[in-house]
Amino acid sequence: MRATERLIRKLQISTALDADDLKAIEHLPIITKEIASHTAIVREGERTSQSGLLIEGFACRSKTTDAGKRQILSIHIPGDIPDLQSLHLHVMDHDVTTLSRATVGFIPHEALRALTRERPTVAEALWRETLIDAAVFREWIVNVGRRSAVVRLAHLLAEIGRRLQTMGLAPGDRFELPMTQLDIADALGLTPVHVNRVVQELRRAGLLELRKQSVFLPDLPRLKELGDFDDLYLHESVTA
Amino acid sequence: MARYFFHLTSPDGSSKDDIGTELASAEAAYLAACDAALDMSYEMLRERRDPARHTFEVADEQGQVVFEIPFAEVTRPAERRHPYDEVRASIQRHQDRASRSLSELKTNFRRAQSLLSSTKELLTKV
Repeated sequence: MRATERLIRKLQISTALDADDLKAIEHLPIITKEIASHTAIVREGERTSQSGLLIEGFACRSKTTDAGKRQILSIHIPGDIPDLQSLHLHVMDHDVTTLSRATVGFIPHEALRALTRERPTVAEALWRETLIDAAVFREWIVNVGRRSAVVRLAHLLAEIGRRLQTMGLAPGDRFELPMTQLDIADALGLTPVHVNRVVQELRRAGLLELRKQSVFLPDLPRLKELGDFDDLYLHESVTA
Repeated sequence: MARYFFHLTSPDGSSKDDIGTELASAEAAYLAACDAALDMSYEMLRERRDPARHTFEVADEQGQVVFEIPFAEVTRPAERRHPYDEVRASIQRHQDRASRSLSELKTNFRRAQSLLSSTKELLTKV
């Protein structure tokens, strides 16, 4: 899969791009790197001159407290540019780390800036991406702050399934989730052993089958209902 | 890393953990169980269930129960010191003991060395 195909697919979820926009994106100079699992792509405090487009694999954004407790802020799937904000905010205020082995395409900020000046619709699309990012963060604040453990996990699984499906990477009810118990715990603000109990609770309710990292959601409508999941915040329709 | 299983028991029955959690040591398993017991106690209280009636039975890969953690012990305030502190204190005691033994060993070694060199010296004089 070419890096720009992933990006185009992602941007087209919410923005209508014309042939010239697509051509301009296809000409982006992208340097592809393979990155090991659980490795930093960019760290808090760093200044970068490029943004990383996730081509294969999963990544997450996180912050760590002084006491060493990590909170995962968002999960990223292929097509996402988790550190797109570094184009306009010059110092990273959180870490971006791979959750699995990943292929990352680094796009120089210079090239992104030139592209957005030349193609206003692409600029709008990228702006929209960061707005949707913020919408996802809002949803996660509600999830971690106000929902019970089992609802949090149901919501997370429904969200990841939905996003993978929209990107054409997996059906929404069957996908690989390369996250350890600890990763899931840090995303949900729970402890690993508690996550383990909640997984078993969902399984007993007939809502989750988990083998190693293969997720199957046998009753997606009921899982979404339990997880208080409404995909409105993902803004998955083309905005004119 | 080893896998530990956190079976949950209560007067209403028990719920086996057949997934388990990878942890570095028995101490790590103990701390993970305490953390989770506290975490789960909040949830139970919100649902008006009594956490004090629950216990974690922590088993190793062979199915042997390594220790039990009654939730009541983790949530109990004051008086009793927090179990973390006990585990930390026990680790500290082991470390102290090890470093004391090491320094005793070093002193004895130095003593033996100096004894050897004075013996050698005496031998040359003979």
